[in-house]
Amino acid sequence: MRFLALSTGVGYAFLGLFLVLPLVFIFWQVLAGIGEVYALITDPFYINLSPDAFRNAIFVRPTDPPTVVIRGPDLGVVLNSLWVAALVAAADVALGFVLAYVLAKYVFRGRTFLGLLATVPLIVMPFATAYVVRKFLDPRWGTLNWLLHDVLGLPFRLEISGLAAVALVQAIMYLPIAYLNIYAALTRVDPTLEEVANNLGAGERRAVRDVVFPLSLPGLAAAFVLVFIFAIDDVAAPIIFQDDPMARKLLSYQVYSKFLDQLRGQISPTAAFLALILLAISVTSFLAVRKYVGLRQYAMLIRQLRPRIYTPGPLGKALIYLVAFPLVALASAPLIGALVMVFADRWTTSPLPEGVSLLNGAARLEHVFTNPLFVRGIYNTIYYGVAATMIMVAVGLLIALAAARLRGPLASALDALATMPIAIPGLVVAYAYFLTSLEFTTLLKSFDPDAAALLDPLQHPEIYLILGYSVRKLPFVVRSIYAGLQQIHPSMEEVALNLGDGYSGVVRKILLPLLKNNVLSGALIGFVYVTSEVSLSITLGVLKGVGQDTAMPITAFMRERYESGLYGVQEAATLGLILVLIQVAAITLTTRVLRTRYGFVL
Amino acid sequence: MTVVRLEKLRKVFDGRVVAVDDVDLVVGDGEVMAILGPSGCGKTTLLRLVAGLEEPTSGRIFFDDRDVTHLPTQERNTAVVPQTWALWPHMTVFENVAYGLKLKAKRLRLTKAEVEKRVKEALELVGLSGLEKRRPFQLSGGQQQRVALARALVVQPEVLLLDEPLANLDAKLRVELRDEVRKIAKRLSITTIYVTHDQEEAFAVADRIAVMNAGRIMQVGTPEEIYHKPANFFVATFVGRSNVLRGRVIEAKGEAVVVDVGFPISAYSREKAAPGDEVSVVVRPEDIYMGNGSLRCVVEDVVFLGRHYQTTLKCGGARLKAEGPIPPAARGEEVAVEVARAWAFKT
Repeated sequence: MRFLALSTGVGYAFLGLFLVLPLVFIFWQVLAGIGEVYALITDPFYINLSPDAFRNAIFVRPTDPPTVVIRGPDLGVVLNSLWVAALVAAADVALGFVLAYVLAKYVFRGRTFLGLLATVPLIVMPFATAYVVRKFLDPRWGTLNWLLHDVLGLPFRLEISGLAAVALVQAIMYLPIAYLNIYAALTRVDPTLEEVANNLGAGERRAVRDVVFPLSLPGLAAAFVLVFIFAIDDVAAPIIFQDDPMARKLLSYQVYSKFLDQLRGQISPTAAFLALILLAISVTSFLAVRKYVGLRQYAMLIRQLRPRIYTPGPLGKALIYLVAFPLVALASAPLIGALVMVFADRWTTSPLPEGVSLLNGAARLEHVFTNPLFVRGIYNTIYYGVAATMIMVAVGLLIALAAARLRGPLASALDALATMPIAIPGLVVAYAYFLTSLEFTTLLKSFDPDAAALLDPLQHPEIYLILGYSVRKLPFVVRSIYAGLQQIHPSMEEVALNLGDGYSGVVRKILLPLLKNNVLSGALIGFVYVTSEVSLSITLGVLKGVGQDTAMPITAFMRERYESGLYGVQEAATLGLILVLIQVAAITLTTRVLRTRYGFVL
Repeated sequence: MTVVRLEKLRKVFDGRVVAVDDVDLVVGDGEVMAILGPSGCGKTTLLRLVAGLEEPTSGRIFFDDRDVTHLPTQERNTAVVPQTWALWPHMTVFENVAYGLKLKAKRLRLTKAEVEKRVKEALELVGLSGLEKRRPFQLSGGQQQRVALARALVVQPEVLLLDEPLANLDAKLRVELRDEVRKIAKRLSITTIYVTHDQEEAFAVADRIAVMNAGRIMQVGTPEEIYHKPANFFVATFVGRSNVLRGRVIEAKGEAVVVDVGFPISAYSREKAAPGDEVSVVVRPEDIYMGNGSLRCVVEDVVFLGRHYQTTLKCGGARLKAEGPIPPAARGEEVAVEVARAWAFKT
């Protein structure tokens, strides 16, 4: 079993060097500047529990007609992050439950269509979709107020801005994550458990309350924590609404903006401390849910039975047509809006996009492909995606092997460590990489200036981007291969070993052919997540700036274009379209060819 | 007390898979009826139709004279014990057993104390007193099975529906529990439908057996009738062990026929086969006697199986397996053989 011991070693070395070490380095930064950190805790900018906090949460602005302004309470950066993420997670779990329940339990017309539409927002088009939501909410020219005031004739206008707007965008973005996890949890409940309850006299609602709901609670908890972590880590939504200073009062935005400050040479322990808080919140909630889900994982006999399905009653019908369909339409609207934007002449002061034509889209695509910078961006995205995927598959295979085939605390700790990156905010990884590599190359300069230049994050950020992507998205690859390994009985390996093969031969000749689909689907999912990644891309990705040899991937260009004014948004959307096409191709391949489900399951 | 009557019951899945094919069946009041058949023959679907867990495509289900065909499962007053037992893992033994009773408490005007008393009685009945606070995963397989049975019995169902309830247990426990299940069902005189693919289990548990194949009921009868008077080729070969010999009828008189299977053999034919008909002759190994008789066979092989010897005989062109005492001839020697009973079925 030397091979497995070696795999464990490689796994620990990779994660230790590229995950644990940089994160530990942040601690050191915090300790170095403990004085500044103390000042921070007492600053109401960060924690504000005075009654003032709620003063501007909701109010009416005396315009004509009056404007109802919803901004949410301002409890300071730290608590804002918590309440926004918790609200988003709670809303998504509640709505995701309705959606998942309707799709898992009812037969009705349009069920397949609804299921398909519900997964649409999984396709990520960062910035562009958020812009559409901003446009929708725009108090002056937005679609919402046009509908409320001009179409329905209501005597007021509605302004959703600040943290409330950030929460709304995030709730829409992360709904499918909640829905997919809850759907998986609902369908995992053995239908005979529910049937027996029915048979003993429990109606649909009673059986769901007594049997299905308690048994799917771990799935609900997992969904809650995943959405919570994604929301607290998200920086795209705060950037979209950054015109309102309140939207900037979130941990993710603060870490991000301080990261940009540091590029200008102001190293601050505050940023390190904020990153540390962000990290602590995410990791704690992740560990808590892991423990809870692990404790509640009932061994269930799964037989190939048809799931228990009901004909919807009046309440069920109301849920389907008054909640599920509008909800899914609302959630996929931003993506559709962003795609329409590519083909629109403009969408600035009108409630809906103007002058939609194929010609516009063709012209924009042509513009993208004739601009060497954008082409470079597309090239970068694919290059990073492929390189990071290769690393993820190699390391992921070794870690999955060690975790699945070795017993003992060392193997299970490795498994836990390899899953951990799900909970580690990308911004924190970016920040840690930047600080560590800067410090390391400064030290190295006096010994080996050439090597130092090669590893300089300001000159060669792509090294750190690829490593960072591969660490962050590693869990998806590990889980996919691990799931496959659990299906393969160890006796298959034992027979080969018994016949005289070495373990590396067994891996090559027995396991890899059997794991082919799991490796491929893991690789494709990893690839999709890398190409659509935002946090690392807009931080480490811009270290070299915008030049002929820029290291920026598509998402970084989208952010750059988004900030550059009116027409930039449509360029960002066009770049987003290319990103969408890359993702759709990979997802289609995953679901159709490999027949595996695409989604996040803890 | 309830008589279950199925009339032309039919269930088609996805418009093409016929799981239950025009089944007529009557289960008497307090009777234990086993549904016996190979896997995939539709016996579980039949049980689920009676439970109300599936809607029939056509046909009717009556409990006494009440048409319950379209009554939802909640209102049928049946109790199912599925093959997996389906114990709720998040509830204790007590909560599992009390569940159905609590749902009915209001209608039956049961107080909390009465519910507790009945649960206690049910657990006593299945021999599980004292385990109320355990969770299902803290119990052995046999105990889990008993909890599932108690959960079904406590609601005093009109019809008890057992779907291979012992399939997940080891052989020894299966024998013990099947006797117990029969004893309890008889003591409470509940009309019971017991689905199984294990014929010994069906014989041990049931008053009558319905043999099923490909969605149809092939024969209904007491265990003796099923074994000794099989109505068709399927029942004759599915139940018990059998030699199958192919041949042509050479003589026929009423139900008695003589078939040439390489040697002449007398058999019953319920289908009234005529001379010249191609038939399959089924002979049980225990109906072949050695030492007497007009048939001359050569002993090919003798195997000791514990309870008896299995002797392979070559008779004319055909090969027969006999079960009984040690043969009066050694391997390779000739022996006189008598076939006491055989059935012929047209093919």
